[in-house]
Amino acid sequence: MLAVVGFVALLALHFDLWRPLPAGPYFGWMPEELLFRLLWMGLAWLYLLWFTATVWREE
Amino acid sequence: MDPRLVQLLIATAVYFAVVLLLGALATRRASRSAEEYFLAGRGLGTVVLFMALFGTNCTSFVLVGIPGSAFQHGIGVFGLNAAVVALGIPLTFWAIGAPARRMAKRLGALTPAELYTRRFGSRAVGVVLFAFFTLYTLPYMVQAVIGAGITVAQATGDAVGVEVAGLVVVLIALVYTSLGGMRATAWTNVFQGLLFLLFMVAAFFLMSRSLGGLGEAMARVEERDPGLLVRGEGWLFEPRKWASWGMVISLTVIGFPHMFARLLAADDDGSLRRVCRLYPLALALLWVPAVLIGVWGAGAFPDLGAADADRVFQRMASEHMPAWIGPFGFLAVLAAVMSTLDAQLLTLSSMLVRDALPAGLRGREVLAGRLFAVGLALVVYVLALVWERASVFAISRMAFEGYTTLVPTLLLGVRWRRFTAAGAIASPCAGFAVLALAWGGVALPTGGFLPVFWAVVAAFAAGLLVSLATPAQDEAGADAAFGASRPGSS
Repeated sequence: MLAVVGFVALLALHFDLWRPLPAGPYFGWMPEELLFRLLWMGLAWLYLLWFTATVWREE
Repeated sequence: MDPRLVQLLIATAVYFAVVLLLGALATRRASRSAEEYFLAGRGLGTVVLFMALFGTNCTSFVLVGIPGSAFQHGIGVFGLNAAVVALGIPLTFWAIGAPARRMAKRLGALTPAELYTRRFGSRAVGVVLFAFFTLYTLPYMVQAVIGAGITVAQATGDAVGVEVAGLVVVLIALVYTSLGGMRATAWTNVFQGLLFLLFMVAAFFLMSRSLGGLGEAMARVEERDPGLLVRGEGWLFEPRKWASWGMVISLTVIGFPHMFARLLAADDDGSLRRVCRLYPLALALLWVPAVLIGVWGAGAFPDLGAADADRVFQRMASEHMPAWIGPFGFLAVLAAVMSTLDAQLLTLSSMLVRDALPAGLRGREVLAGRLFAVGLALVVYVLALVWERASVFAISRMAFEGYTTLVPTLLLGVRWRRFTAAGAIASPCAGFAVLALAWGGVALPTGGFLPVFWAVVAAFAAGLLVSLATPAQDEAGADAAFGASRPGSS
């Protein structure tokens, strides 16, 4: 159940329809769009670490 | 002779020598059995499996097509493609790859099509899957050869044309794939993957330094077109198209027969799980530079037209990296192209021999596979010459959409016992029918989604409905495929 909730939350963030107009740049160069996507990938990676350790069990 | 050209030729010769040597080293083991040739004895551990999958996954689509696309559409190309696949690809490895690997081992299947043939006890399923895999893979192979050709032409100042470059790339891939089978392609993929990954990381720092630093590089882009630094509004950025493409780019990879075959070669589930943990990190390392090189190119080369967008990567490598490292940019593309091309040649030839040709060829699979690979390489080369001016992204998109329509069959086949042979045939046919109408220019009521979205819906619906309307597979056959435990439990 938690896996489904996490997946749906990540999908919702991927669509980001509510996001305000971009700000930035961050760190002197990084566009907000790239920063947001990299943060999203970081969350997706954490989700996968958890998923592969708990939901995906060895046969 | 131009010293730069000499440097390029030497670097290329060294690269070819290494991949041919690896192919030759794998030859002795490849000749032991068909399982060894086609699946490396089902013994690929985490590192080689990861590099084989990643190397195979990344082709000139990423190194040529994505910079070209970012050059035209800006930074939004990253979120459109890279971010979502970091989650989507590993999850498809879990949902389809892991049960498929276990089922293939249980049934003794060596190819993706053979797995489904044995799963259903139906040769027709294997033949239909082979036909669709081939149909969708041909354009994907062609874009790889075109990408390599463009890169060579650009790197040599058009001294070496696309025709010659394409021929050499196809021939070399053919030789080492024919020699060493899966093990050769896996070993060469480790070398090739490292080469293009390291180059892209180096390119990120060296190119930005050449442009005056990261801030200055971005400022140049903003000066030319600030819209390139935000997610755009048209093209594939419209919400429903964004959703459709997110689905395509996430699902398509498991539909690549050359990726699917590599998953079958994993030594156990543990290796697959570890690969899934590494995948997002490698994707970020490769895609951030790929997109930014295209975006920076928009600021650096305002003279470059949209029709030549695919040349932006090599032009950036030539003009914004130290001269000594230039050849590595060319080799990075070559490595990415060949690491996919070899796997495609191997997988399609193995499916033809084992799933589509008469049983009389049993015992001579390896020889027949090698002969087919030669014929296939020839067809790809001719098509590359015919489609030379087409965009790498556009050709890849066509292939990706096709592969995505195979996912319902691949998924239901390994996760749903009630799925029948008739359903497995109806599903890809229904998906293809919708795509064919769209590709043929028929205006379908898509509700703002891409036609491929509805093609996948049709494929799922056909698979489910036809399966429920036809007799279930006998219990013994299903037990042989799924084993003692019920599917979906892990």
